[in-house]
Amino acid sequence: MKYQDDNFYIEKVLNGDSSAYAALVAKHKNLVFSIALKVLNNREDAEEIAQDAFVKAFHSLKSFERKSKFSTWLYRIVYNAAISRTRKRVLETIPMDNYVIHNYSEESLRPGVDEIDVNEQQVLLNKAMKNLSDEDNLLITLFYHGNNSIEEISSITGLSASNVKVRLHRIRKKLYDDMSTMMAERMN
Amino acid sequence: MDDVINDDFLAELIKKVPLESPSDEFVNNVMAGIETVPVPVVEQRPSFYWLRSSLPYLGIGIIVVLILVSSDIPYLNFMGGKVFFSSLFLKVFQPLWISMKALLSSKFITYSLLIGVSAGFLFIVDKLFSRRFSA
Repeated sequence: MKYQDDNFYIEKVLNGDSSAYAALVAKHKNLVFSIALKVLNNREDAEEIAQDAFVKAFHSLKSFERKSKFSTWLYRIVYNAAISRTRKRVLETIPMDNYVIHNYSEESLRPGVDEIDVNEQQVLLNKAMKNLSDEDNLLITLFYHGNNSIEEISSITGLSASNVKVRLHRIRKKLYDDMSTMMAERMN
Repeated sequence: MDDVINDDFLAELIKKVPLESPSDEFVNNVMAGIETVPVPVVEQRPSFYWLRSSLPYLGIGIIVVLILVSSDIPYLNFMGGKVFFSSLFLKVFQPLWISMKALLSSKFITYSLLIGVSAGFLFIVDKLFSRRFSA
């Protein structure tokens, strides 16, 4: 289904058409649910938290100042709710000094991955993503699926922008490394 | 650093990995939740609230002024109208003072009255303040 811009539905809801909110829920439910699931690691809890986040967002819609995207605001609500549920500490900050990028080259990061067909790349990537921690998967979900900028992820998770960058780079490198290793194992 | 993260190849590949989906009833459950959760009604305070809430201060203020004006504290003599107010109050309350004079001749009654009036005053002030802050 093709959805309109979020502001279209927000205006309708604010003008009294509550049913327009269903479209917003349908549009964002997968990502909101995925965020909750990455934090909680339990489908039932994640569904409950995601539902509560949508209900809370609905009732707070009047106070949404539109300084950020609706999705960023919504993801922050669900992320905070999920973190509160687990009483887990927020994402760990990585000191910049511990991670220095040396001699970066595209080829060194993904040797041979281009040479296999897309379906196989997909299988390898799925496996590689399963090796990532839930927190790393959360950052990937926000960055690649949610199309959030570094600053937006920083605002959602509370991490500094530079830490988000470092973590994303590290995740990316780990994905390529794991995919390369798996590819080499297949060939042997 | 941004170039290191903005990897179209990986982005395309990751986007093909489907996101987790909640149950089919998810949207309906959210909408049902929205309808059942009552919207908190913000209680509007009456426009005269400030008047009611300022009554204790007003009462205390009047009593303090009355005590000061009718007292013999020397440094208050600079106050304009002190003499006028003193004589006015004396005139107004004279019948009361006279009628009370006989009553206050007994130490026992004087102390009882003092304690009773003070307790009553404190009780009223306490009631007024608690009403102000609990409203």
